[in-house]
Amino acid sequence: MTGTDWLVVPVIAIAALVVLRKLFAGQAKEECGGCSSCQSKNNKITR
Amino acid sequence: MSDSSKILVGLVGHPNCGKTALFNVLTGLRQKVANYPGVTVECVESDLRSDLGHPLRILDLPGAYSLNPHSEDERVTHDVLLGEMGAELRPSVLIVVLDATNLRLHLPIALEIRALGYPMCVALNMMDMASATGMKFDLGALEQLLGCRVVPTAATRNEGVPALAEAAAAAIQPQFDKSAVRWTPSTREQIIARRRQVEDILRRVVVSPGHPAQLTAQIDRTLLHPFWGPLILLAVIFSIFQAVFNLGAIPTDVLDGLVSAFAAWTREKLAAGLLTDLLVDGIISGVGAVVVFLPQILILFGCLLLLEDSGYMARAAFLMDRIMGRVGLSGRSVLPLVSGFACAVPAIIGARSIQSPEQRLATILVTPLMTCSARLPVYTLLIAAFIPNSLVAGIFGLQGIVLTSLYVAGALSAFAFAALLKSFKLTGSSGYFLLELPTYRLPSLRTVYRGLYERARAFLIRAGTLILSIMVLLWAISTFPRPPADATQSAIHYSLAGKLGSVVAPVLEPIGFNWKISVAMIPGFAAREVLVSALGTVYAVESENSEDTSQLTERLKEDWSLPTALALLAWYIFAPQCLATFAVMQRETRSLRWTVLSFGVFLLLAWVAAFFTFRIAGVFV
Repeated sequence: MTGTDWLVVPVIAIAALVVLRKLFAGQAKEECGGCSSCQSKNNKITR
Repeated sequence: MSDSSKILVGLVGHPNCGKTALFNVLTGLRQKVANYPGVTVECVESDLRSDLGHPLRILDLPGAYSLNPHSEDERVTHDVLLGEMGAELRPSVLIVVLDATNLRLHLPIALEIRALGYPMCVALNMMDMASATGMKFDLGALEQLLGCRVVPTAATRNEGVPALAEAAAAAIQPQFDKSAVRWTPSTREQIIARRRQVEDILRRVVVSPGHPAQLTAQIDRTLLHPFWGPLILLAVIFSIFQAVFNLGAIPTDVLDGLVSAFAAWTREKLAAGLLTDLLVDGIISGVGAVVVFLPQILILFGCLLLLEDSGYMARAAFLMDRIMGRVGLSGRSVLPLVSGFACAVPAIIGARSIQSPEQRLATILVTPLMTCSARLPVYTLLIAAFIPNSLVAGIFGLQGIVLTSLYVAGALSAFAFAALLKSFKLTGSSGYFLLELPTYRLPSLRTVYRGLYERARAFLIRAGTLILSIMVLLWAISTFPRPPADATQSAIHYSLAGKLGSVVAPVLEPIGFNWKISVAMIPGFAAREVLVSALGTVYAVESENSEDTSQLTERLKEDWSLPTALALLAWYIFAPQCLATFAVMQRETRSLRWTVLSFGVFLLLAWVAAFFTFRIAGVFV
């Protein structure tokens, strides 16, 4: 790798972390197509 | 953030009396509201807006017709009020929300709650609509008869909100012992006595009954007509999909051009190398490919929000009840199924409002077949690339007709699957269908704007986080390992993605999918629209000519046959490519067996549909 090529490594690592977090955090609500039925993270979904 | 030390105030009342609209104005949040019953099926809580001056938390409870629960969402309200979901969730004060235009129907629950002994106040909501029809009330008499403060409100206009917060705070009784609240199901005699009491209250409180809902009755005579009603419903649905193409084409093309120009500009300005490839091929081509469909998604949801808020959606449920009953679903299934056009996740949760457990299970299982918004980018990309933009019968756009057909095919498959479940006697107890038909009203622009804003925001956040991250990873596996010095094929053939594609290819080859589709399909299992981004990235990486930043539709046209494109469209009617849907299905059915079974059945159906489409189209093309 030359020049700025090495910068792709941290970018890939961050992307992998984001995907893993989404996959394993059990946040199905955040993963949905994004209609307005469930959106605010400040809301406490109690059931 | 909610502060659990604050006093909890519960919002209770019938479905569609405006609880969530009140919740939104009391808290400053943006929960979904609509003009049909059963939108809220979970409890949501948040702090009262600080400018209203009281340290309260507000809890929005699902609508309930009485404290005797008949469905899952009514049970949530029952359990919260009786402390069966824990003391922490039990409110100290209740705001009973009543629809002023329909007090006869709404008063019984206020009397039932008063009998429980909770400190309470009443929000007499929708006062704007009641006043518009000439209704007048003696609020002092109502306060006296109910034994609590009554505050006139119009939540959608933000009227009466400070007074309501004040009344809720004033109703707090520090010595009130929540744990002493007991409830027993009402006897027949008690219900009859309550009815009499309601009539007595109405006699004393309603000063002028006005002329309620005359216009609604007139409109319903046409819209609910046994013959014209279903035809009008079909025409409405068809017009929406025509609008998606006719109105959405121009902004989508402009965005597409901007993305291509931005990719070309970035490549020109940055030094050639891996980082530039990642930016242009991975991020800009991938994320850009899906972002360009935002206008079409907004047009579709703008139309659905207008229908919801006008009160027509509840009529659609009524019109569909007979068909639904035949396949083992209920009219109540229409609302979750229609919200499945947005996303299957809230639609599956929304099935809680269905009383019969069998019909609820059937609705959950068939909901993923409704065409969710994540399919829209896939459909519009392929239709724009392969279906000519011509007119049929001189009026109807062919592209719009194909899109409508795909939506209809999804809905028909859902009905067919439900009928199949019924034939196996897995579902089918007919039950009864009671639905309150709301008064028609001019849609609130604020509700529509908020709905569209939330949708656009959620779509862009998703594109900027999950989809972007998946595209970076896809670019990485499409780029590494690097090709050998004596490579004879394009670099992607030697990459990990190329190798994975060739592993999956034998399964997908018979249905006409090439290895590039196979590669894009793998991340596409996380979410459907990821396929579009993935195709953008795969075609960008695969292109030997780094100067080639032509639009994705052009590349697909060159590389695919028409049968392949049609087969992919057929695949997407059924494909179970959404992790979140199956996660929530598992949660709601509490059955891994049903979840795995439906995933397998949908995957098989997708393959079979694509196979036959590819083979049959191959004969004609």
